[in-house]
Order: sequence, then C-alpha cells, then structure tokens
Amino acid sequence: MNRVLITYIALQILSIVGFLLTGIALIPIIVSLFLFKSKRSLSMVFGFSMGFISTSIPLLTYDIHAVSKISAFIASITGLNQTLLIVIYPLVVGLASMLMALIGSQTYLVLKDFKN
Amino acid sequence: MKIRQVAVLVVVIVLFIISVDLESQISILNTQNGVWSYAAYGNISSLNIKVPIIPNGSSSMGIYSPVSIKIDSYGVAHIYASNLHDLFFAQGFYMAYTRLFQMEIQSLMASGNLSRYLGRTFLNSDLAMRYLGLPFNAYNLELFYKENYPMYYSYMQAFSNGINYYIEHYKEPIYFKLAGFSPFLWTPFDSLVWEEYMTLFLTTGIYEPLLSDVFLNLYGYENISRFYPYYPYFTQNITVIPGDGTVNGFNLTDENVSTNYLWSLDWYDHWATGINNSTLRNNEKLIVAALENISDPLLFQYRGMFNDVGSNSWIVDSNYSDSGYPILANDPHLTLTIPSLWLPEQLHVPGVLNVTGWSLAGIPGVLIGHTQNTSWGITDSEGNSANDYLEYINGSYYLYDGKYYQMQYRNFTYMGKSYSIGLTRNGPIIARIGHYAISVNWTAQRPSLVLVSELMLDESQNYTDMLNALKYWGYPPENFALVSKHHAGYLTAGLYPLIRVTLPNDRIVRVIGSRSLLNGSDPNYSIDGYVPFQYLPQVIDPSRGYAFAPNQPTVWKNYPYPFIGGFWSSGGRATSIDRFLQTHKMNISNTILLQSNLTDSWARLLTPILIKYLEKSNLTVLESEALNYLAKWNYTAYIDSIGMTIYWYTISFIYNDTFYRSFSQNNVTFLPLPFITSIIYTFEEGNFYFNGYNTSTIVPLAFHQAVSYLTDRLGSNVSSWKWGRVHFLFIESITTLNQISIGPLPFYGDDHTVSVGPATPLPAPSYYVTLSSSLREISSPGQDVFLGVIPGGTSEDFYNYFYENQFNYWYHHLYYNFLSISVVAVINLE
Repeated sequence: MNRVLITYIALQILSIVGFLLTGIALIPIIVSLFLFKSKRSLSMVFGFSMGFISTSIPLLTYDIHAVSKISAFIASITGLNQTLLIVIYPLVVGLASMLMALIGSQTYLVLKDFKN
Repeated sequence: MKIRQVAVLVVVIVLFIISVDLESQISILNTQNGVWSYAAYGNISSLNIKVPIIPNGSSSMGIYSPVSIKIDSYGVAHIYASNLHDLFFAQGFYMAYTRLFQMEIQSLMASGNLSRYLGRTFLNSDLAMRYLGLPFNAYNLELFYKENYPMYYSYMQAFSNGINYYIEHYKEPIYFKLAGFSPFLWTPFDSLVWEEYMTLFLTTGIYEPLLSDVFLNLYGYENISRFYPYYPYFTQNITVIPGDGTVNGFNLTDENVSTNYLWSLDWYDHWATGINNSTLRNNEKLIVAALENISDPLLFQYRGMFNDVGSNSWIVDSNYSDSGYPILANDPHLTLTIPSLWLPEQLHVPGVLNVTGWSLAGIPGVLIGHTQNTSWGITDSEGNSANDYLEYINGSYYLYDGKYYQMQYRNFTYMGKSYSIGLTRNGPIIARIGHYAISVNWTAQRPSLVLVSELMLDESQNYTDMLNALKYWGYPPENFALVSKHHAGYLTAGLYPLIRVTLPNDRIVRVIGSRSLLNGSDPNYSIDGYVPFQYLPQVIDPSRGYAFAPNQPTVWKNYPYPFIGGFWSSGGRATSIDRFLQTHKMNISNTILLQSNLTDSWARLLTPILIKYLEKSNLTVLESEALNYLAKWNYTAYIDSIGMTIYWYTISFIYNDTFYRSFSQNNVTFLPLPFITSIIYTFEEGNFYFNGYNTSTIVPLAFHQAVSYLTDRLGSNVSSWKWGRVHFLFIESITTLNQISIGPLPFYGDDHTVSVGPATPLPAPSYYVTLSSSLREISSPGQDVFLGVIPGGTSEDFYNYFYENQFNYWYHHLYYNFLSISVVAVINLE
C-alpha cells in the first residue's frame, strides 16, 4: 500500500508540475496510465484525483475576486452555473484521467489473464 | 471472463475518447491557459519588462534608455522617460497593456473593417466610413506626416512599436479569446484613422444640412425658421465670446453689411444655395439615401440637426477668482462607454515635457490636461467645418462651371462585393440617384497637424505657447478653454471653410457653412478660403471676469464671418453657468458645485407657462395633485425630484403629439425635435401651432397624458414619482454585453443641466442616459490645483480592479487630485 501511495504522490507531483509548465491536460491524463498496477478501484480514485488536482491547482494561484468576476461573466452569457463553470474543466480532466487509469489497470488485467 | 474483461476495456476506451474530446471542446476553460488564467491579472502589478536597448536615432523596435511607468492608486499611469521616443514607446506599451481590445476595435470601426473580423452585421457602419473617406484621409495624412514632419511621424512609429512589443510578447486580452481573433499589429495609420473618427463625431455640417433640407421640404420655410432659427432663442447674451461678435476690432458692420438685414434673410433660398426649392424637393429621396449611407449604426449614431447635447467648459480670470489665480473647468460630453474613451496619464521627460491629463486610447500624447503652468479644455464649437453639395452627373462626368469633368474613383472590394466611390472637386459622392448626387466637402479631407498641435500644447509653458500650438489645430474646430498662471481665455481653433455669397442687395459676404445643400456645379458656392487665425473667435482675460463654452453660439451676429452653418445647442447649460458665475466670485469649491449643478434653466422659463394654461383647465384630483408638485418644483433634476418627472413627461407628450407624430406620418422619425427654447418662445409669443395643435390645446392634453402615463407606470401615489425611478444611467461595454456594462442606475440631470443627463423628449417607460460627462477636469495652475475623474477606470478588463474604480467618484461628483500620488505598481521597461 505504501508503495502504491508513494507512486501516486510522485505521479501526482509530476502531473502538477507538467500541467503548470505547459497547460497541456494530456499530461495528467497520460501520467494516470502509470497507475495500472494499482487495484482497479484505487486506480480510478487516484486517476481522477490526478487530473482533478493537477488542473485545479492553477485556480488557487489566481486572484479569487477576478476568478469570480470571470465566472459570473461567462455564466451570464452561457446561462450555466457559475460554480460549475469553474469546476467543469478539472472534472472533465479528472474523468479522462480516471478512465485512462482504468484503461491501464484493465489492460494490465486482460494481459495478465491472457498470460495465464 | 476474458471476453467480458475485453468488453469492459472497449467501453472504457470509448468513454475515454469521448472525455478527451470533451476536454478539447472546453479548452477555453483550461485553468492554466484558458480564460481563468486572466484572473492572474486581476490587479495591475509591478513588472520588469525586457525591451531591446537600441542606439539613439534608430527606429527599430526598442528604447534608447530605461523607462519607468508608475501607477497610482487611482490607476493613473505616470510615465517617466529620458527622451520623447522612449516616452511614446512606453505610452504605446501601456495603452496596449490596458486598452488593446478597445483600440483595435476602434481602429477597425474607423477604417471600415469591422465586418472582416466580426461579421456582416457591421457592414453598414464600414461602408459609412468608406463613403466619407475616413481610411483614405488617414492614409493621406500618414503620408503627409512621413514626408513633411518626419520627427512627429517617428513619435507615432515609436508609439506603434510600443503597442506591437506588447502584442508580440504578452498575452492578448480576454476579449480576443472570446471573439475568436488575434490582435493585428498597430501602425501610425491606426492612430490617425481613430483621430479621423473622433473628428467626424465632432464635425458639424455633414448631417445637419441634409436633415435641415428634409424638414424644409416637408414643412416649409415658415416652420423651419420658427422652430429651427439660425440662433436659438434666448442666446443673445450668452455667447462664448462676450459682446456683439467683434473679434480683434473686426466685425460685419465694418464690411458695410447690416446685421439686421443679413440675419433676416432666407438662407435656404436660391441666392444662398444655388439650388431652387423644386430641385431640392425633387431630390428628397437622394437626401434620405445620403443620410442612410453615412449613418454609423454603431457607437456614435449620426448626430442630429441642432444636437442639444454637448460639453461644458468655463474659465475665470485672475480678477474674478478668490485666490487671484485663473480657474478652468471642463467636462466633454460624449457617448459613455466602458472602458472610457479616455485614459488618464502623466507624461514626463525632464526639461522637455511634463503633462498630465487624458489621452484618447490609441492616440499618442495628452489631449486634455495641464502642465505645471498651463491648462486647457475642449468643447465642440458646432459651426460648420463641412458642406454638402448637390452635384449634376452625366455618366462618369460631373458638371462644374458649365463644363463636364471626369470623376475620379475610389475602387475597392469589400466582403465579396466591388464598390466604386466617385469624387468630384468638392469631395466624395455619398449618394447618387439618376443625374443627381450628393458630395461632401470636409476639412478632414486635407491633411492637418492636429497631433503637432496636441504635442505642442503638452509642452506649453505659458498662454502664448498654447495660442501658438493652436495655430496647427485644423479640425474639427473646437472651443479651447485656456488658462495659464495669470491669464485665462478662449480660442475657437480650427479651419472654418468660407463661402463667398452675394446677398440679394448685391453686397458680398463670406460666410461659414450653409443650412442646406449647395450647388456643386456653381463655382460661386465653392470653398473660398478659411477664417484667418487672427479673426477666429477668441478672448483673453474677459472684462467681466469669466467666459464659458457649453456649445452655445460661439459669437453674436456681428461676427465678420456669419455662421450660417451654426448648429449650436439651445444654451440651457450656458444660461445656468452664466447665472451662477454672475453671482459668485469663484474658487475651487464652488467650481465643483457648478460642475454638479442640476438646475434646468429652460424649465424655469417653461414651467410657469405650463402652469398658467393648466390652471385654466379642468383637472382631476390626481392631476391637481401633480400640478401642485409642479408648482412647488425648484427646477432641479435630482434623483428624488418629483416635479422633474412630471415636467419631463409633459414636454415629452407635447413633442409626441406634435412633431414626432407628424414625423412618423411622413416616415422621417430620424429628424431631430426642435429645441425646447423654440417651444418656449412660440408659447410665449402665442404663435405655436403644429400638427393641428396650439398652446391652449396641447398643454392640457399633454399634461393629462403625462399624469395618466405616470399613474400606469408608477402608481397613483404622486409623491413616489421620483426622477430616479424613470431616469437611468447606462454605460454600455464596448463588447455590447450587458453583464460587464454599468447600470442601469438611477440618474440625475437632463439635457439642460450642467451636470448633464440627457433623455429623449418623448414618452418612454424609462429614460436611459448613455451620453454624459466623459471626464471632469478642474484646474488652476497658479494654485497648483489639478482635479479630475472619468466614469470608469483605466483597464478594459472587466475582472481588473481598475476597470471601474473611478466610476463611484464620478457618479457622486468627487475628484481625484493629480498631485497626490500614491504609487501601487511600477512597470519598468529596461
């Protein structure tokens, strides 16, 4: 368990740094693939948090009033909920990372099955 | 089991592909480089910018020495450079940093290119700019500067380089991301074309004679002379230049022309225009087509004849000021936008220039402001600097002096269609039907050194320097309020084209402008020079101690160059300012008081007349109650004023039942409504009759309609009919998105109050004020007092602290002190 956690933390740091430096959402998504050795349920949780946390971190560095004004503005022209607008991107990337992690662990399982 | 595992895997892969696709579709919400990333710029923060250091004299991208831009707590930028090249580079950089989207949209609008970027919705606006020749004029002006004034051209280039350095190295504003296009690189042309657009907005003589002719054709000379007189009623003693019109000892009487005779003439007649009434009537469709072609449906809708909104300024000389030092006040009234048209700045080069004030976003220098020893303000003079001509066309030839000449053409393809704009010797053709066409002769068609004039004002150290600077001011003619440490005065600077007219008594007089189209084929009506600088309307240290210029008539009737094309405002604000200045020796406190004055001087004249007619009428209980409020009203337009509401709706119904209804029946609702002073005068004289009504029938009817309308809108409790419930301020974002606009907010004032809040004088559920003081300036160089405020902020970014940080000050008539600087951020270009 400790090894799994340490792997997750290392990958999480890697994906945060990668995303902060490039803004490319594929980084946390691809990094999630390396959670394939974890249990399926755990890889899903870790995968989701990998994408969600990596893409949420930048929001914490911004002026909160400015974030709120931008979200209110976009909400008013799109008709969408203001909070949803802020969290939708991390949620989608979290979902994609979760699915990527799942693909990894599922493929790992299938291959192991075939091997056996 | 294996198959199930593989099936799960396939499903997960499909879901994964969908989620990745979704991510790419919402990438604008990417938290690192999508819209949220702009939140990092919520405040203007300190920056160190690496800019190439280039050798002195080089015109490459870069600066000669480091520049510092200090931003104070009001958002005002104080730019310190060691030479003018670097100063303008830094000004360009800073303007791009705060206003890039605004500047680029303005340039696209002025050059007739909006549709290219934003779609065909803007095609009419683009074509209007091209018909009037704005992009062509700006192009010629750029060449003129380049060839004849290379030093000033190099400043414009440095300014453009500063903008482009920002574009190439920094994040584009959020609006570009949302609109889906990238900023284009700036050139001096873009600055000059915006200058042309502002000139168009402030030019008199393009739209007015056309509107005037439409009214004349429909309602005849008797009505036009009664309701749209050459000089608005009640303006005799409130001209900008005090006195009878004599300037530097020269007047009309000296020319052996009787003023009474000249001003009693019909200036729409054939002898004055070269066109007979039947020809004018036969060309009504052509006139309307011309108006449609040159109407800009965007930001600044076409200006009406006798536009009754404008700007305020006044000066007090040293004898009339408590402190013994002159005082100046100015507040130009323009369509309000957020961000504001103006950007407050200080430009400082040791030993060369130290000016503080307001720049127009996109144009280098400071246009309105002060140095340590001088201060100046601007209001529009409303005298014709353009004239419209009726041209006689045969194929591609135009008639002039009995001969046909080949037209030149401006050909262009725009949005997939080819256009060809003909040019006669008078100017571009703006409409053509059959053998007739209308052309516009406008001073802006020739190069003028407005920018030179502006930069010389920025460097001025005394009153004479300011006068010398204004010798270069070409267009549009403006009333310049000028104050130095010890002198105060006015100069209406600019080019006034003259037309040599032979009067019916065979006397010859050179006049400014026309009320009507002129005959383009007759050389007698061609431009014959310009008013010489020494005889431009002017006064220094007026003997009565003060002067004022809120768009009322510039000079009285004995001026040597009669303003036939003088489409002034009715003078309501001028009357209030005059009344106040007559009774107060001035200091800074009561100058502020006057700038916030909310008395409607015309209501003071009209209300007693209304009451007189209403007291004779049969009124209901509610109407009697409303009349009581009107009788007790002190003619002020505060937010909680009830009399104001009743008064305004009553006159709105007067206009509605008479002029507006008739205009609607004739499909000419674009015609401007006559001044309230014309209503007052004809009511007083007992000769008001229009559309079947006279004074005794229209007043009770309009009052009855007003009370009934207000009851429906606001309920039957008259004490709740406050002005602020129906009169709102709305400052629209240049994006036109309401979410980032200001208002609607309850608002004070009306068309005629010094603190202006114009409302359409027609019944409306709510009046929306979209034009008001675009900045407020009060200064006294002798006392080291420089106060100001704008209705917005310095940044165009709606999430930025400086987006509307000055708005509340402006709304409450408060000011910031230019000399009290508390620096909150520094941008170093090094």
